[in-house]
Amino acid sequence: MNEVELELVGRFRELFKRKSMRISIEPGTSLLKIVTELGRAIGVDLRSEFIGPDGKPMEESSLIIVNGRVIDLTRMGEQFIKPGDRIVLAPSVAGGG
Amino acid sequence: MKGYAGKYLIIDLTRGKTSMGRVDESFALNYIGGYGFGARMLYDMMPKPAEVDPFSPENVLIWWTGPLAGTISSAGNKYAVFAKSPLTGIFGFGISSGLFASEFKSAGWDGVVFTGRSEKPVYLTIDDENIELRSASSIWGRTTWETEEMIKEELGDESFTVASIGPAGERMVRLANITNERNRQVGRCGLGAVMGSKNLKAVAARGTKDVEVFDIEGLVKFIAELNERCQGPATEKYRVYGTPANILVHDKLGCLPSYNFQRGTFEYAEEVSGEMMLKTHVKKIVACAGCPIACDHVNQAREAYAGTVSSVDYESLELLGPNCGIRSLDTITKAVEICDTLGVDTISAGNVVGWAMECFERGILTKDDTDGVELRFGNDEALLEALRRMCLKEGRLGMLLSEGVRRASQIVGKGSERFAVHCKGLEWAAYELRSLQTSTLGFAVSNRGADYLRSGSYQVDVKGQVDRLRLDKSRGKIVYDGENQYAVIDSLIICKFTRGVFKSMGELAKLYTLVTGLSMTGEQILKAGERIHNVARCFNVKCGVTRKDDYPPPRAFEDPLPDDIVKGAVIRREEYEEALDGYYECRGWSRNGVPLKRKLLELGLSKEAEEVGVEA
Ligand code: SF4
Repeated sequence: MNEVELELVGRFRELFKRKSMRISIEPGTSLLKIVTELGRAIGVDLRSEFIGPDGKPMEESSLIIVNGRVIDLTRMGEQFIKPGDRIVLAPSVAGGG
Repeated sequence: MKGYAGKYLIIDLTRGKTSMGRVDESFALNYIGGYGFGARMLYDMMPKPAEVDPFSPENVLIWWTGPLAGTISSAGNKYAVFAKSPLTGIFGFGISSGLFASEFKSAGWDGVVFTGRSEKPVYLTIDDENIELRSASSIWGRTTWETEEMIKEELGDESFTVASIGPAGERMVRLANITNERNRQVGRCGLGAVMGSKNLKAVAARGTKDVEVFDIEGLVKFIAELNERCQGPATEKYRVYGTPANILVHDKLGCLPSYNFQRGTFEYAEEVSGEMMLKTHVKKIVACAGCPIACDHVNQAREAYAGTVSSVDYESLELLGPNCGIRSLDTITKAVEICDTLGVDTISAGNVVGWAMECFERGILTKDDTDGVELRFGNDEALLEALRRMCLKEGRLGMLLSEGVRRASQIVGKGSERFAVHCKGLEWAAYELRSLQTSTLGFAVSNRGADYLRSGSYQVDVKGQVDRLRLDKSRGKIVYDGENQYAVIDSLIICKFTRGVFKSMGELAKLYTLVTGLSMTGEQILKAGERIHNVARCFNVKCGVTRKDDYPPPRAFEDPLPDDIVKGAVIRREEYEEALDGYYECRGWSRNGVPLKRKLLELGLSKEAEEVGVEA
């Protein structure tokens, strides 16, 4: 099965109305493509959670974690996902009052 | 100059005498307020800090607001307290929010300095110009929440705000904090115990004056813009979930300390997550005076401790939860209530109990040592009992824990020091040591000890901007930049949750100028931040701090993480040394961590250059 596990945290749970889901991918699909298509499926510009209008990550951009590694958001197009990978969409970390 | 009241109180508790000091323009420009004023004054008032017992009358206790307190500035109503810390033996400092700073400033004062020790318990009332030390005999022994109510009743006025200590502070528990408005604390460094040592139970303030600002029109316009930004994505996480949102994110990153920092994930993270808390326990969300964000999530426990209400942030939730193996939000809510009412810092409390649980499970502590408490990870009742005894210094267990993790581990010995997770005696906060390595460097070099609030260096780790499982020389610059910026934020004093709202240091300088009328650029204000940081370091050097003190605990180097996603992560000693060298180089300090004379002179610190600075 060409499936990856998608885990959702914080506001992403509200957007997708679930905690996790499995999605089928073609081997070698880029993370950017996955994010774009996931957004299309729920009718939201999901990419804008991670990348600003200027194409760069924002100060408080959300995080994408693949197999425990935080992804450089400027290179989502070059990050290829394999079946069995675990992708987490999470808000950025908040701390220090 | 506007914004500042221009004067502060000096209270000699030994003689019961009150006098006044002035805040002049040069002091204001060089040190801004809050952290800056505290560092400058502690350095000046305690020329030989190494010789001062923190519990002696010679320790000074200093409270400052910043220039923004009492104005319409968003999230600027904070106050800071300083003393030599009884927990760390070095520069002690803590900040609290709420309404207190605004009332205090509106009474016409920027700060208050306490010297000496009162013979009997007292509390201070500041009612505009009317300053009075009143007997605290009838409130001594009361919890912080009871104290607040009793003082308001005694003064016959609900509009007083009260900052007080609980029984832990009175008993000089080294983790004791200062609480205002029930849920807001000057948490770290045991400054509540310094109040206790001075027989000072509380400060109650009420002010009726407007705090004048220099350019009200410009300020209103700028604040409106900032408030609008405060409603944007930069602060959404604070508004909706509050900081507990970190639990699941940290778990997914393998940087959620559990079982006394033995692991970086928690198998029950979902059960204690911010998401779960919002669904099942959050009763209301409240804000500090004038803050458009409102991040404070107040919990109500359900079945187990029905009726218990407490404000639970990420740090409290994490250290009293996963770090002690606890998976019940009810228990954590109760644990926070015990800490808040009896008056101890939840971070240090969760850390030291976690250490004791590990020692118990390893057989280093026995039931004899714990007075019969089965102090195992995940034992809810044991956690609550240990906290209660610690706050009251009750029995062998209570006495031991009340010393804080460094001292407690030295008392116990038998290798337990290896499991004590602290730096310079301050208990490590809820950020994993080995899977956030820039953060670890930032904690370890901090002036307060293991400090999560002085550089924000975890941000580059969690944003994936660096390899968070390794270190290199360049991390020193990241910590250095963060510390200087945070020194400005903590001197203004403005809430760090707004940091994503300001686009540059220039905007912070603009806010300062609109309020005070004193001209300031982004570069100048950042320089002030660097100056402030160096003054605090010089105080610490006088206390004996050098390079040897700027290291994380042994666990960081010796115990690789077992969790799948960060398996084997550990700090390599040679990489840490390199990063530390990089940090000292940026700071202009010697390889031994002592500021160089030329750096101090460049910052206008000639007194420090003479007393502390070393040649290159
Ligand atoms: S963000 Fe939270 S802690 Fe900061 S000022 Fe606002 S309510 Fe207070």
